[in-house]
Amino acid sequence: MTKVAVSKMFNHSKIQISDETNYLKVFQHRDVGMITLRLDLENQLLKRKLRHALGISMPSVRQTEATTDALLGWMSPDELLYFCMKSEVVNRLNRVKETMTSYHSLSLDVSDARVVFSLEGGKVREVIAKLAPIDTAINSLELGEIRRTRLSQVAAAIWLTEENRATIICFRSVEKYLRDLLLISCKKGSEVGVW
Amino acid sequence: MSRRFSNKGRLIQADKPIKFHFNGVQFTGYQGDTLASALLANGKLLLGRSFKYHRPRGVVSSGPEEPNFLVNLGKDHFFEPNQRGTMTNIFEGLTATSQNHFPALEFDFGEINSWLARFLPAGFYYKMFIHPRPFWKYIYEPLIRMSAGLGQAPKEKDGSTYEHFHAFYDVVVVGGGIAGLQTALVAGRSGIKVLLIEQLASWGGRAQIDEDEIDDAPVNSWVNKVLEELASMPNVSLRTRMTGVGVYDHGYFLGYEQLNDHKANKDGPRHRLWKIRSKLIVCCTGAIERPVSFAGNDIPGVLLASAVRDYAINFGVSIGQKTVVITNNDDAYKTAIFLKESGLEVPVILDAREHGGGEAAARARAIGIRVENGKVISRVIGRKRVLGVNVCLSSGEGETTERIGCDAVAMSGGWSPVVHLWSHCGGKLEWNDESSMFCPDKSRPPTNENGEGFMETAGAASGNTQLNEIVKEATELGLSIGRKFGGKQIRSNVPKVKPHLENPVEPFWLTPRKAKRKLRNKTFLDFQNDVKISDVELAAREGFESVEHLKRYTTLGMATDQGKLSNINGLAVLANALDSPISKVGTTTFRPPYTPVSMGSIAGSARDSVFQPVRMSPIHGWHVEHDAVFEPVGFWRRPYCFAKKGETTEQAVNREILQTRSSVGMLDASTLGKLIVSGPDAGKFLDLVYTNMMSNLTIGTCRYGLMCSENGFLIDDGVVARIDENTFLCHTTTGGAERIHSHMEEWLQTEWWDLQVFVQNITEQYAQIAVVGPNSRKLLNKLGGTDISKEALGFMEWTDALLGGFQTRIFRISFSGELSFEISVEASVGLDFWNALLDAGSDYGVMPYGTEALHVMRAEKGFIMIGDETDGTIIPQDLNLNWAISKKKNDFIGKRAHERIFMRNPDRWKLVGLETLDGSVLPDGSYAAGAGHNLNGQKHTIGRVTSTYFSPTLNRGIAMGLVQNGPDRVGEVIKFEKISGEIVEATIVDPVFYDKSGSKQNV
Repeated sequence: MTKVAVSKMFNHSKIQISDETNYLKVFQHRDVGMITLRLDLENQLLKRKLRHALGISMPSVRQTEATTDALLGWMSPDELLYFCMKSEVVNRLNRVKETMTSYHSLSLDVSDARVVFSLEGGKVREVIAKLAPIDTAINSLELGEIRRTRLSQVAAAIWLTEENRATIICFRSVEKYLRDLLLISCKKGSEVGVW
Repeated sequence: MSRRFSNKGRLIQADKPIKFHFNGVQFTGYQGDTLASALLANGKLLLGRSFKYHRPRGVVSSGPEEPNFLVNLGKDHFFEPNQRGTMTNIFEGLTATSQNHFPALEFDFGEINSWLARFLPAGFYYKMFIHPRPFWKYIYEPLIRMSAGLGQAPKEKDGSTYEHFHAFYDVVVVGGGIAGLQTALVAGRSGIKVLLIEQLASWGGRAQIDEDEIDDAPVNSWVNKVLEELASMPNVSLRTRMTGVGVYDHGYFLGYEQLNDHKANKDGPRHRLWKIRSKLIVCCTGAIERPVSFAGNDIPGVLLASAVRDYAINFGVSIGQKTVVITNNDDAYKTAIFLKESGLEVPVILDAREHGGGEAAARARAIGIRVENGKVISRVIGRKRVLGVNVCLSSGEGETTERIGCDAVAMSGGWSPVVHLWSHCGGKLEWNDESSMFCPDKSRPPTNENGEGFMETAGAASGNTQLNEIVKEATELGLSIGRKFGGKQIRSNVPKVKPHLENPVEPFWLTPRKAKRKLRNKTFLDFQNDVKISDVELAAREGFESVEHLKRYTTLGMATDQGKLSNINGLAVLANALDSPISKVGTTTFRPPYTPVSMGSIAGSARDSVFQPVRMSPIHGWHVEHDAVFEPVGFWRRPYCFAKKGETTEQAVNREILQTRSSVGMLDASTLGKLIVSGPDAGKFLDLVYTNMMSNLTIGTCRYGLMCSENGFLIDDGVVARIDENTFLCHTTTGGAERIHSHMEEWLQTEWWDLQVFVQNITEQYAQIAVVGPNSRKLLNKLGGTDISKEALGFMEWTDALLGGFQTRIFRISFSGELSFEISVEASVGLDFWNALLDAGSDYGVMPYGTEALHVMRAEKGFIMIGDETDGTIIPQDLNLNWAISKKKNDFIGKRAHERIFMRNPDRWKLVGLETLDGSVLPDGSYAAGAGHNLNGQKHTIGRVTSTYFSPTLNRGIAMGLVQNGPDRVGEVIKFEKISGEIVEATIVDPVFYDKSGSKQNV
């Protein structure tokens, strides 16, 4: 399946939280549905069934796969995170449960456990590098590659959907911390300018 | 007197004057000036006072090694002490004050120490302040604290911002001199990823001052050409005003970028700390000139020869009209020649070497400078400024042969490679007798995880003094780096440089060589800490033979400059005193940071609202609006109580408890951890993790469980609910979710990887609200939608149900002893549900309660709290929780530990209730004293208080504690001590104070 750069749901219900003092646009997203899938990712048969049930390719290690209305991210050797519109969660979760029922697996609605932010602008990579101890250079962090890392002091996952756009998820309880942190980190006047 | 003799300084823009203030007086300098050069240009030579003797001091260097010219910089929110004037560029409106004097720089009472110098030898403080003992606390310490420290501590909050930056490179080249530029250029041409950093604002290093030509062109045009090519390479990053401050394991490297210290406009981050991972670090950090040790070498107007040259060439500033040069190498001749050619006087060059200098000496003589070989300065005349020098034979005892009038002295004792970064992570040094310097031992670099070196050096940092050798080394290194890291094949030529014919440096660690004691007493090694030759010699005589001991005893190299000028001279004097080779004495340990870094840069952006992540429940906003008094629980903030206007927190807590016990209260319990444990082996796994049996829990019911570490100690507790055949929901303590999740994963991944179990932390998916009190069922019935009668939902049962239109999961569990329901809803509707409960409960006066009311109510019921009754040394048996330890199970984590002799000791302290005879509240943590004393003369203890509260329900103080053989001693009165020594008597009672039969929760 070809990679669709931006899934529709990440354009839906987004609120800009940055202003003219920031050199990136920062958005917070509402109504993003999330389903945690725990399964044996080496079970090709199960993966094939899941692909048919959800209509989305299975991501390889540290990658995401996207369709127009969903995104599937690799989280660990036995965990995937599925994104869709929140209104679709019950329906898709049932489909997943049905598919995986005879396998040792777990699927849970975790839509409220995490919050979603996104960054837009020419210097997305450098702003991430201010906060995450990862190599965000063009040759290192590929488009669509999902990194579970930390942003300063909290756990987060981050991926670039296209060159100038990054999506970030973190736990709900630290939403305010990450919102403040992202806005501080792209204050005009703090541009690094290495890439 | 120092002055600006030319407006053509290399680094200044004479058409851009800048006004600034020093000690309240306005001065003018030019764009590009440092604070040091601008003040020197204005005739200010006396710029500071030394730490110990308060001796008048002027600037001695022109770079980061400066020990003397430290200032309090800035005002109010931008105030910072101990800033080096040689590294501070001036800007419009800069204010600085000199340090360590009273009342004034020019007239300082502290200078009395200087006259008392003979009574203040090395180790004086250690020897003096030990007797008589009581004097330390009441006299010595307050006095020392008053006089100690160089600058003042900032009083205001820092007005600047800071940030971090993570970067990854194949190679980091530290230092933008010729060696660094050439290494980065050649390596960069191969296409590998290179970062080149320079601590100053401009590139090219010393070569632009000291050398004539590279590739048949002036040095600066070569530098510009190289910079142009580097800037055109997308794989190369260039940063100025960025200092390499630390090298750590695995090629981790810290770069300290100063973004607006040189600007009047303080917008944007002040410093950026770069956290860099690289495959190779190349140290092109150059070398630092060493002072010469002669009497009076600290008097204002005595500078390093290279610094005199820097001020003249870079800033057009002369230190004096008549400058005497003293040297033991050929380099300092450049200073004399430039001064003379600029029309300034150089009365004499004193070359300590009997055979004098090479090519440079001939050139100096040719332009009419008097050069004296085998002569040195015996002492400098003057106090606050140089008035002249006494000249003597370099091999003698210091008999004056001639007095020469001058107002400045330029000294050069040779050069020391900057090997700090090389040494930070274990790179070794070797003493080179020929060049009299410690050089990096390239055969023993710091090594990475594969045992391979991850550092290289090039240029003066390697110990090279000749530019033709430096460019050759840098080129070869650049090529080999490119090859090593898979760059493309390239060819790069070695730039053409004409070699100089120099005579070798000859070490003179003391001038004259046999200087008398009187001279040695005035010969300074460490300018900042006032350590003299005589101090080091005394320390050696007193047995401080290790250079590390010497350092701590004399404070040599312990000041803010970390001995950049003094270390080598000091250890050479020690070697001399011990009659031991320098290579054997060795250096002290070089540790990061190379130069001081701001505390702010270490913190980065972590301040104010992002100082620390604060975890907030979905209902947090409501709590804030309703005057919650918060307390931290892990990273969470939980309401301690909700204080109404005019109410103290104690009153609020009491009100909340009485309301809950008499009618109904609500608690935001969202922070409790929730872990889903699922899979065919989930029951089996939980039987191993909990002390009690979980596999036989029936679907729809709950059980309180305990978890121990493998050492048997209690680590967590909580209610487990069986959701379906394969799925359990495990509640953990607040803040315990991540820890217990990791604990479970660790056992699953390392020991029981054959079990088919998934553990998922869903703590944040749900808001959870406890509705507690005799009217709680009535309240929920008002919301309606499901039958929650005793028959439909019994104690320790749960159900999924619609409640007032909300999809909920209701647990009938109680941590208060009252009829109680804990209800979870999806986090996004948590606040709506909370408000719905408040509405429904208005008839019953429902009100929220905080963690303190929760604590008091559980203590009234004798329920334990992880972290109060447990402290990492407590086993469940200590808390009389044997009923929760399964005897049927073959194994569980902690079972074997519980069998240890110490754990089975009947004398272990055990949980009891405590009631004071006078009804007062026992102090938390207080101990009960038993009979007799231990070996340290302390009273034996027989118990301690673990939880203690005022119970509004019982209207008296209640407490729980751990007491030796406690449960067997019910009724006994034991004595607890307050910090004041006052004794409080308490009766040992059953820990359940309220509703012992449990009838209230089971209705």
